[in-house]
Amino acid sequence: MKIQNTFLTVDDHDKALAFYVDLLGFTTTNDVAYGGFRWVSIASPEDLGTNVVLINVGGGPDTSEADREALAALLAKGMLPGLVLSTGDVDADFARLEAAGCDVIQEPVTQHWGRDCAFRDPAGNMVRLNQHV
Amino acid sequence: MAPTPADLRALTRARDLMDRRYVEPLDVPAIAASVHMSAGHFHRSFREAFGETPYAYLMTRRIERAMMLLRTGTSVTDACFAVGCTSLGSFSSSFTRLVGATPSAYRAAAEAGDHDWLKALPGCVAKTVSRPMRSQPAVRPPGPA
Repeated sequence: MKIQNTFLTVDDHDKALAFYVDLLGFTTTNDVAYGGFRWVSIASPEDLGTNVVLINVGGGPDTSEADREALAALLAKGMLPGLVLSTGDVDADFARLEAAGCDVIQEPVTQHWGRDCAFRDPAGNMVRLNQHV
Repeated sequence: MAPTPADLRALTRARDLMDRRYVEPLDVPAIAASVHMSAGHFHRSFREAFGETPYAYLMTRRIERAMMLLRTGTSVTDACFAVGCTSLGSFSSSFTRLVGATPSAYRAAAEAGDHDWLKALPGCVAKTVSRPMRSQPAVRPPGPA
């Protein structure tokens, strides 16, 4: 068994794609829009079978307005679960993302297992980059 | 009026900046300006969003970092200055109020292995779960008190 889809809430798909596809290099594997909602799947070019689906706040039309507002606030406060990515060169990635104006959470730091840094995606999700030695 | 998601996103950006620069003295007007807010509006909306004033948040962050240093064997004096506090007395009283133990008692407990459970967690998770909270004592390991 393997993981096929997992979900990440974003507030603006175009901004999210500029971050995840243009800057981080993920591939768009699916892009569906319906009734004001949109589901965009992204995957690593190295593993197109493991997708992260970027969803609207609340996911679909059956979420109440109160729940949607609560989720939008939590997203903006960085309190929804984010992503941990594995990369071959944390320092090069950090330099590129910082130069592009991304919000830094943590500069590259050496850990006992390697090196890591962290950013926020445009919506406020934490994206941590790990480089194992 | 409740803050908009855009306001909250800006406040999170400011909080991330404070998290990164916790060693430096807090410059509320500069941080507020970096997210295009007046100092007064920033102070009020930060407290509303995160439950602490910006200064209280900074001290929580410093104490959380100091706890990490004390767990890894740093002396109380070195931990105090390493996190940006300039008075050992006020550092110790803030620490004790937040953590429920003096810095030296916390360090001694770490030496005795009381905090070893945190070593099983990735650093970013340990940071979150070990962060002291003003409304309740710092998290304790599972099991009888």
